[in-house]
Amino acid sequence: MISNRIQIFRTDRGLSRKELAALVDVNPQTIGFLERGSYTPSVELALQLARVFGVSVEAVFSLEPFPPLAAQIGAPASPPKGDTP
Amino acid sequence: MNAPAPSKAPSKAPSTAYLNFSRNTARALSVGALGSLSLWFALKFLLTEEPGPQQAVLQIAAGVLSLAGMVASVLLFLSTYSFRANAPDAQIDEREVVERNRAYFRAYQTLVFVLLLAYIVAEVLEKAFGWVPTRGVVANFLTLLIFAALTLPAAILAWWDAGDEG
Repeated sequence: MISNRIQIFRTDRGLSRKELAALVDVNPQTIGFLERGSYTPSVELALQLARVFGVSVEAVFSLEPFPPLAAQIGAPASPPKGDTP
Repeated sequence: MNAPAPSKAPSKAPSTAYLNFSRNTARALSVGALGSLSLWFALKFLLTEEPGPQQAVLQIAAGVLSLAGMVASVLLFLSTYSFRANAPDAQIDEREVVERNRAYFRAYQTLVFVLLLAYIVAEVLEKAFGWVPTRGVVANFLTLLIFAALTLPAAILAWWDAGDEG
């Protein structure tokens, strides 16, 4: 099972499903399937999506589940090295 | 934002050439087509050659069912679901290719199951009652199978369709 952040990146870029679908040349329904994790894209489509978002493919797709966004935002900054006794 | 180069033609059915039915309409057509034709076959199978008013009414009912089933089949065959079921790889996206292949495989499984069932039923009827299918029964069964083969892939795609939200 591959996790993805397509919905987060899409809303961040202000794109509708239809607009994103047109950019990567798929049916808008396919974007819905991808966002729900109901369909795993080919390498080509994954690379196209990452290119549209302007990030690496690893930023969009992961073999492990992504941590919740709230946890990432609320997580305290890790202390600099050497501060710990 | 970097836009990728388009890799293939847009995966949309040309609206001018195909009937763009909603998911529910296509589902209703599929039930109407396969249901009417199955009932028509069953009715023709049970009808006897003896003349009478009841037989005449049943003959008319069989004719109406046959016509309704064929019209529904043709409408479904002209729909965008049929386009997706029969489109070459270049005209649909990769998920639709996977769905199309699954729909055809499911249709193939269904038709093989129906053929096997018909064969077993015919064998049992012959062994138990000495009944042998007439030319008319075989012709009606083949008609049913032809229409089922034409409409099943599109019907399966209509039932799998998750709607506009995908």
